[in-house]
Amino acid sequence: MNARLATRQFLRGRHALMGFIRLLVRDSHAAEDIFQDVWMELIDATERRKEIDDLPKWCRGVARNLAKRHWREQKHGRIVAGTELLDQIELAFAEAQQADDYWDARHNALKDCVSLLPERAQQLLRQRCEAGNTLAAMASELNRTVEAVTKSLSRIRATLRRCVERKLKVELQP
Amino acid sequence: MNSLEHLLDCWEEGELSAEALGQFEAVLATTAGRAAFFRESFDRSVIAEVLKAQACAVAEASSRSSIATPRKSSASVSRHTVAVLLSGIIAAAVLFVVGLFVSQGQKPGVPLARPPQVAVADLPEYNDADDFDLPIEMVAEFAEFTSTAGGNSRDVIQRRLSPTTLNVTSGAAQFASLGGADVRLEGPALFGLSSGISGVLFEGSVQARLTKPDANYSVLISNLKVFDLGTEFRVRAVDNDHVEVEVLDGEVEIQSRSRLPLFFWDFEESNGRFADAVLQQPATLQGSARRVGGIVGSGAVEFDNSPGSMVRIEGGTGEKVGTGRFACSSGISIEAMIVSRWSGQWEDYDEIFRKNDGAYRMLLAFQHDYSRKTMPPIPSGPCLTLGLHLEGHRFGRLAMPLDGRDGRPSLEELTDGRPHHIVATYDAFSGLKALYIDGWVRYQHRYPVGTLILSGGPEGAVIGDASENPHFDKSAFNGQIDEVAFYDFALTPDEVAEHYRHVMAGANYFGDDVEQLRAPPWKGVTRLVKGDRVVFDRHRVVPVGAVRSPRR
Repeated sequence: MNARLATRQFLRGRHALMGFIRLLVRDSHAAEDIFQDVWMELIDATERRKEIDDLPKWCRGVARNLAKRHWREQKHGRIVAGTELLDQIELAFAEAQQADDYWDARHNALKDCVSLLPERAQQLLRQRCEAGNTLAAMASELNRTVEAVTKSLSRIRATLRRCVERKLKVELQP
Repeated sequence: MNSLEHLLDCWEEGELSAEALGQFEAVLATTAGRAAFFRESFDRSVIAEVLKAQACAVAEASSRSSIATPRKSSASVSRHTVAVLLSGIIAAAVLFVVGLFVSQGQKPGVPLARPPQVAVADLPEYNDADDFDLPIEMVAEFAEFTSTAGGNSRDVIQRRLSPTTLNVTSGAAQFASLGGADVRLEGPALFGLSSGISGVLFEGSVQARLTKPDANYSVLISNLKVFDLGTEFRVRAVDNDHVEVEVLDGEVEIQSRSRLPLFFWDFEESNGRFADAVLQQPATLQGSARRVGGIVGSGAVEFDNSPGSMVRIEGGTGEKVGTGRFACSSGISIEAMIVSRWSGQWEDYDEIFRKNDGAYRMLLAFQHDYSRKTMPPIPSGPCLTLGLHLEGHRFGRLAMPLDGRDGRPSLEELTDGRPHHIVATYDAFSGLKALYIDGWVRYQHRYPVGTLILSGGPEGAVIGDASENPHFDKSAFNGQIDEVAFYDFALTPDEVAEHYRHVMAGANYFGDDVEQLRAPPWKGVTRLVKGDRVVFDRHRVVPVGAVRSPRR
């Protein structure tokens, strides 16, 4: 597989891969670094003429190893998934990779729906996405309880889910 | 809140209890659970991505001072007429050009890795009647990641590039030449995409690999060309004098530039139909232009300042800019012997050579007008002008005032009834535009190293007038023109001096050896095969140090 072909395949599954990496490292900046590193490993592999049968799986494997390294370097004491759980998570992503078109459409729908959220809702989600921002820290900052913040986030996500499902229903109708 | 959402919250918090872990594993044990888990993870990832992009967009809009650069490498820049910035994610990662900038009107905040050696001010905005646009030949394609603001958008598009220079400050960049090669640049590198089948290495290193059996790709550096013969190879500029060539697969031929003109008309034919000495490119007398006794040899052409009197060069054109026999990229020289009777009056123009491809035209002429588009800027007055379109700088003129100051000739000196040797050059390897009179340089201006010429195209070349277009009714030459030579590289000061010595001795520029002009423009020096890594003197094209594979 040459670099261009590998690039195309890599890009086709990039949303799911990024989701996988984010899930593992729970930090957007670290996730982007690992995403880059997976890319570099892929290019090195194509240059070495390495045979890659299942590119998304190969990328997740590399990402998983890099995430482990990230965990070791962080030493922050937060949970680190065991091999079995990681295998299950990877299986979830492997099963989903069959429907790239659907996830592309969902990605676009989500982009639209997030932009339709009220600014306060966007702000709350943004705070949650910031690296290291725990629910407790958010609650303290907002002068609310952890439960209240959790509930607000849950409602916002539910709103987004409904919005996305509506959009997808319209888009995917024959 | 559903349990999966709760579990993911716990996961994100890093507080997954043994009980929660068990629940998590139970969810993931079923196909439906895994699908729901993936959907929730996917959504959260996309939400984070979208919000981050929005935040960056807001930050950029408010500060208007920063465009995200990759965190893993410094920004790379390219002179190219389309501003694009690759995303921080992959850009840094090593494969593609990480950022491009428009050399005029750069986006704020994008660091210029290599500041121009000469500050080039924005040229005045105006349109000449002859500034019409023409289609340009595309040369390469690369994947580009749009980055509206924070580098978080990952939409990718395949973008086609016209001739341009890529400047990779770190990491690496890769593109596909339309001739069928994957080309990779290792930063820091400065590389000109001159055509679909060749490139020009100014700094750094480049690796090319053919992707089609019938493709070819060559890399040029000064007088040396690496010509592939079905291969993968790497070329590295070691310093200003040396280049290292390494063959990774197959075979390459190392070629040396013959340093001969592409065209040379000496007007020796007596029938009014001239053929150049190199390619037999025909040229014909038009209007009242007539053949007379030569400034050098037996023939020259006399022009009487009447519109339409010219030597029209037949053919040599191309469909688009960047094609045709007059298309040059890394260098050019226009050389002629003249006897001038130019008036030097306001809005009088005497064209020596012109190829009138609109905004991509080339010209060597006497001019006196508003001195627009001159670099460096000069006050209005009689000038000798080299006009070229340099990529990223648009059409511009090096206009030498004929004022007799600082070594420049005066109008009176050039119109004294005696023959004068005129040479105009541009060299992308040095960025130097220069005008020579009678064997030595009189005026020059330096552009950033690596600035390519955009030339060629559908319009025919003309000697002694601008064109048959009545718009140019003041452009006819008044005097004689002889020994017109056109090169796709810049003559050196030593070569110009030697040519002048030859014509002063009554010979042509090449010592009257016209036969030598029919030699191929590039001659093979040696072939290298897989495993060879050899250092060459890039000017003389001789190996200076070789690391041969043991098996040879």
